Amino acid sequence: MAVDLTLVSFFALAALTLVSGAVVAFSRNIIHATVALLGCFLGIAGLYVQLSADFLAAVQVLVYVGGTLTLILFAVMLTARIEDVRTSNTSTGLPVGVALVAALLLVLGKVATTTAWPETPRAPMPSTAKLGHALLGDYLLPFELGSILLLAAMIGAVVLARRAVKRNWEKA
Amino acid sequence: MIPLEHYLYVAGALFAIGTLGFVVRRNLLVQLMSLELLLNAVNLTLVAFNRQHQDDHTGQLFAFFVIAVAAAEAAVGLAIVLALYRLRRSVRSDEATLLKN
Amino acid sequence: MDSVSFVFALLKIALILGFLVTLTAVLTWVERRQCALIQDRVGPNRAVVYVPGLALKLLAGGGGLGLGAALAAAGMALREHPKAMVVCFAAAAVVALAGVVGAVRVPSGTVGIRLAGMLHPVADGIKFITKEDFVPPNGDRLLHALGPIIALFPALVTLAVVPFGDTLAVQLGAGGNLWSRLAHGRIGWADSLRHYHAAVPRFGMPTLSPDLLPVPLQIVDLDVGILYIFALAGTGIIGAAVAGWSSDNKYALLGGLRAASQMVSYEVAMGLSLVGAFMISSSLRLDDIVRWQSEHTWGIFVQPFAFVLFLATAVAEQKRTPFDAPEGESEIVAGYFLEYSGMKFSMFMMGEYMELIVSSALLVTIFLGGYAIPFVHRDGITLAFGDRVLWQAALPHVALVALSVLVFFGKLLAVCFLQLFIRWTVPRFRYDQVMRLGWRRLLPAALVNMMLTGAALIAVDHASAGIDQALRIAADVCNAVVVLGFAYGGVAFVRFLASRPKPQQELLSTSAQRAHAQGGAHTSPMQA
Repeated sequence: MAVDLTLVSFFALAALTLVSGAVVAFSRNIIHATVALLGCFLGIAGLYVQLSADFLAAVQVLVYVGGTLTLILFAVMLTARIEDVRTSNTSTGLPVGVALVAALLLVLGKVATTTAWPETPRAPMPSTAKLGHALLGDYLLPFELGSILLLAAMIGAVVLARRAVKRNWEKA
Repeated sequence: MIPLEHYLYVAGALFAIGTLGFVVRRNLLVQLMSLELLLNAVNLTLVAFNRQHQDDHTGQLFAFFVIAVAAAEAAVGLAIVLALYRLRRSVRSDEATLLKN
Repeated sequence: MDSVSFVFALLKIALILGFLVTLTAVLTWVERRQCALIQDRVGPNRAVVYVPGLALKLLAGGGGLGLGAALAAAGMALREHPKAMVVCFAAAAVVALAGVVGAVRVPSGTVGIRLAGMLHPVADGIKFITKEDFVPPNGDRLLHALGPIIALFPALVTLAVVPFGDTLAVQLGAGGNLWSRLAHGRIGWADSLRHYHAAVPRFGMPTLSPDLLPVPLQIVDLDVGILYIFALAGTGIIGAAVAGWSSDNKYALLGGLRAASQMVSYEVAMGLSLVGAFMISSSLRLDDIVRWQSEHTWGIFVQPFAFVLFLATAVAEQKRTPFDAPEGESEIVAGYFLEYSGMKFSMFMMGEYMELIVSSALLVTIFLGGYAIPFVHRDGITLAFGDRVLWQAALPHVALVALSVLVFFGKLLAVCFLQLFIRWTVPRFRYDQVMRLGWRRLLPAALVNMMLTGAALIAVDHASAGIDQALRIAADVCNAVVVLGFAYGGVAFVRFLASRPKPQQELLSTSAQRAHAQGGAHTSPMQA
């Protein structure tokens, strides 16, 4: 009888993450890839919840789905000519890539299986307040630097993406 | 409680998928998305490792900063893709050859 | 999770989902009624069920007499309690009389039942289900089906973290499983107030005691609270964009892009406008925010600007007029759901109304005290200004909880009506105006509100005891203002209902004036 619900949900979330990740990387249709990215992000957020990182899960969905994914969707719709998405998305160098990834998987698998990981996970606890205190305490400098980085990125993106065409009143 | 290794396997597999997508695909947008997969895989390991520490949230904080940097990266990266698209009418990374010759 | 909590969780989910779906249907009707009132049309009156008058007569007479007989029997059973018996007999007489009068007054022949247009949502449902589900031939079938699902999903699940009533304390008898305890009457409500306070104190978080189980009236009690709502609301953006793209239609694509960019822009200002409220109650949890308001005063008095900002951004998030550029009929036909029909279309519409309900629930919870009533706490009514207690009365626990639930849903309905009225009051913004308002007005205003709140909080933290006391009295004065306002509003509403509408005839054109002078013209019967 004892079906471990946490284990079941873990496998469901892992499957969602990996399958939609594979669709992102290998789908011919770039819009399908973008929508699959949504599933991947949500799956990762679910895994965060299981790891009792609820604040991070909320941030993950908020920033990745609400911000990044929408941006990507915009870029896809603005660039990929809608009629021929299927042909604009080819892949090259498959053998080299597969060899590289096989080597990578070998190393990662070796490390994951042979290392003696500590066995005592902590009890689930809310993390929002702790993260808030850490961000405005020990990690204040990185936090502020992060905001400066975001500001710089925002300005940079605006400058890069602006049309080079000058309007009439600018020419004068 | 699910053992740590499970999360590492998922993260490793996601990282492999992301790498393959980044190396093999020639559409800059797909490459950017694969990059997001890589960052997510790394974040997952960070959060999973963090669970093993009793009263310390450094791993989650790192993941938080990675998310912030990823947002910045996506904004600038997509702006570059749009600029390239305006120049070349294409988003293939093969065709970004303005600095050759 | 033990079985009692599980049963309560199921009950709460059923209550909230049922309320959400029912209110969605009612709101569509209300909106059509309001629109008709404002435009001086008849409004929804075409959905009609024809019933033979005889059946109605039998139903009214039989039902009234039967119910009256049942009430009379109940009165006979309550012979020991004279007051209850009298009430029962009086009710029996009234019900029976009403049934008989109804039976007499129902006309014979066929009767059309319209219920003031209340049947329209039902008719719409039948129409949506039976209509052809059209997918554009060159569209993307998969994404075309996925779009409405992604758009509807966040609206369905976000209400889970909103507390809709005060914590209910359930008395658990010892021994046996849930059903045997229920059968032996060992599960009940915490009746004695003293007992109850041990589990749920007047202020602050409920604590667990061995035989009392506090049941928070909130489906899930998440530590991230409102971040959950914002995070999930963000996924709705993808739904609109995907729907616009997969329709293979340029208008739809434009609508999808407009919807996505508008929702992304206003989500930023929306989140920032609430930061002040979080700072004041120093929590992201909605139940903490309501508890703070119950201890002090409604959030609208401490965050008035945030209330306006949140209302504006919430309307923009729902893509309703004046922010309905994504579906502007005069420009891009219907926007992102142009190529949708049948049930998929109705999923978009339901999503829109459910988002309206969710945002109204947030407005109520964060700014209008949630389920809290001024001067009413977990131990009854305490009319007090600062430390000066004027009047106190204890109330039973179950009554208080029931009252809090009713108050929450009442406030929710009122705010929903208010939001519906906005639609018929303000004309549509142009697209560039939408963007400029969001980024150049609302976002900076939200940032300024945040900074001012922070400065005020620091000032209050360092204030002297006298100022602290003055603030407490000010909070109670605000509560008193709320109570008086509601009393006045109630009286005014009853007087409005009781007053007879004065027929006014405005003769605007000369021809109308001439016709009137000659004894009036026959008006044609009004059409919908």
